[in-house]
Amino acid sequence: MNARQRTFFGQARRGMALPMVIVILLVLSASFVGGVALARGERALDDAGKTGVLAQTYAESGLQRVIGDRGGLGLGGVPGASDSVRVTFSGGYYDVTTTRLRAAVGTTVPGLYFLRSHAVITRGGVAGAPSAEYTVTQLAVWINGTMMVQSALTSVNGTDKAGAAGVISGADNCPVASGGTNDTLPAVAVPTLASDGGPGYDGSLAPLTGDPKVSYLGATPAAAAAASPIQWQGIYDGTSITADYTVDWQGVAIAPDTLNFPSDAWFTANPTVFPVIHVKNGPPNAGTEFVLEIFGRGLLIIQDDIRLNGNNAGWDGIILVGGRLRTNGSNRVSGATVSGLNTQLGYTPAPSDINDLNGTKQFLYNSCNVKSATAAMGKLRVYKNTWSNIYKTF
Amino acid sequence: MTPDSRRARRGFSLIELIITLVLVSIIGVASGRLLMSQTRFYSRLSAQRDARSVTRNARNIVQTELAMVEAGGGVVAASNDSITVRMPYAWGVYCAGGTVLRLPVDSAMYAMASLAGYAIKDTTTAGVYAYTATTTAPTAGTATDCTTTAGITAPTDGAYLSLSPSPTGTAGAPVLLYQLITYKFAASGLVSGKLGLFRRVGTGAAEELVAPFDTTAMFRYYNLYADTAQTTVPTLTNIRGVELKLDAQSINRSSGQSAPESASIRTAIFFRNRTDT
Repeated sequence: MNARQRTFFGQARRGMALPMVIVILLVLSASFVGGVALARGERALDDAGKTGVLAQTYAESGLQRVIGDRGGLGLGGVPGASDSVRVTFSGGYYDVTTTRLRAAVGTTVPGLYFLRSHAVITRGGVAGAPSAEYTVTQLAVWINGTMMVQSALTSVNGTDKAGAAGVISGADNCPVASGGTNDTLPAVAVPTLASDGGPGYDGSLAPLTGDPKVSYLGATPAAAAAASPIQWQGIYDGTSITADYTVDWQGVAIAPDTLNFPSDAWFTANPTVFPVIHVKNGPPNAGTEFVLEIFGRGLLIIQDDIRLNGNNAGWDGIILVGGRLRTNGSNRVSGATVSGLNTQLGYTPAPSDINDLNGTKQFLYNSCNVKSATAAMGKLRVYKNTWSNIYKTF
Repeated sequence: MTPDSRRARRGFSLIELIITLVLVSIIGVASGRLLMSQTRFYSRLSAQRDARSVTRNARNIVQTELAMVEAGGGVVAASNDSITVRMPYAWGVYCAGGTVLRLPVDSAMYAMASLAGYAIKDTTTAGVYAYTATTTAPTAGTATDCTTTAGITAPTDGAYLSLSPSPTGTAGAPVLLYQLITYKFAASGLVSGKLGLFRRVGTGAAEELVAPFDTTAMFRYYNLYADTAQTTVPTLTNIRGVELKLDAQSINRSSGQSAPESASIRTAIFFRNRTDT
């Protein structure tokens, strides 16, 4: 025993320091463990509450999106028998499902749909915590899009009609029994004066049937464009209407069948389908003319000029043309036609941009074909009082 | 080192023992107080957590169900300590010939439900539900009333039901099956002297969901077009939501406390199914 191991009593110490330290450490450790367990439990409760609310919020968000912005979810057109999309976000996802209960019957009975949005929150603050889930549902019907039709053939750029053959009629060509309106619109709607200084409609009145036969939209093409109910910029750009087919056409003289354009055979095989076809043959006033030589249907959007060429050419539905419309041969359009819409974009039609109708052609207003062509631009309208949170995935 | 000196080091002197006992006592008392303090702290936090759990559980249960109530005719009776509602437990659409397409629903909830009636929505005018009271269980409906006559097809896990009395309506009109649910604050059977929140289906036995609550816990109501809840019960058809005033308490007093811990929340539950939105 050296001097350091001696106390003032001169003897070795066998103190209580170590046992006491151990006891105190045990007490403190127990308190710490208890505190941690308590905090963990509290946090788990808080997290459960938060993620539950989050799941509910996202489920609601999914439901609202499918109601108001199907296009934004990548779901275009009239919903089919069933479609579904998953939206993933940080810490979870939601699935939005649209199930058709009843298909639309004609234009009078709308399609009935069952909407379901199921959100899952996978982000949990405490390890091992289960995912929070929530499902909401609602019933909805599909309301078709509409178009305000001003006449059977509306031309902001003016129309020259050669000869007295053919029919341009604003009388609804769709029978009432088939859902027609029995309305009689103007046969043609034009500016008072076309860009060449001549009459907006220059030609024989004999082919015209309507009330009135000629409707004047304004003194000039610009005034007529301002009076148009069509918002052409978004349609021209392809942002306001989602196309089923987009066709790049830059004046190459080839048949549409070889492009991304539905063929004769396709239209025959799908007699009730009215696709949206966007022909990109702009820029405006460049004179790039798309040539249609088959009989199709749907909503046809032409950025610049179009020519209906030959006796087989024709269309059931709507044709929206940015530039000029030319026709050769005995062709027919049944629905509604509007041309010269690039005037809305600030382009003034040249005298050579006036519509040029040759041959025995028919431009007929048909409300049923218009409805069919705009159906895909409709939206879901919920049945109020049908919200539910008791779907089976609970 | 001599034998004498070795003998002298055996054992402790009286002074050493006294000093040791004093030190041990001081440390022991300090440790005991620390332990007691920690225990009380833990106990109090635990009690507070219990109280908060009571409020949360009550809110979650009631919120899930009440959100679906149809505002126009969903509330059957209301007071500050209870509310009775027609609670939808299955949804569907009317087809034809008295057959209804029932949409997919939580199977456990459907099996446990006690039918009190059905309601069918008027799709042609104001879009309100017409309620029909019945306790006759639905039977299998005629599928062709939906698929052929009305052109309505059941999705996966849907079903065709026949209701009695037979409903009439427009094909595609929404239909709901409901049970009567009563929520009530009443004397708790679990915690003496406190209130509990009870849920009763139809005329069955009331089930105590959570407890204890202070006597100030109550239902308050949102009247039509009002943005604040009121204690006075509005006309039943004008009730658009419920404010739950949940003044919960812990079951036990924590150590050193003279009263249970409290946790109070007020939560608004608005009826999602209403025609005036």
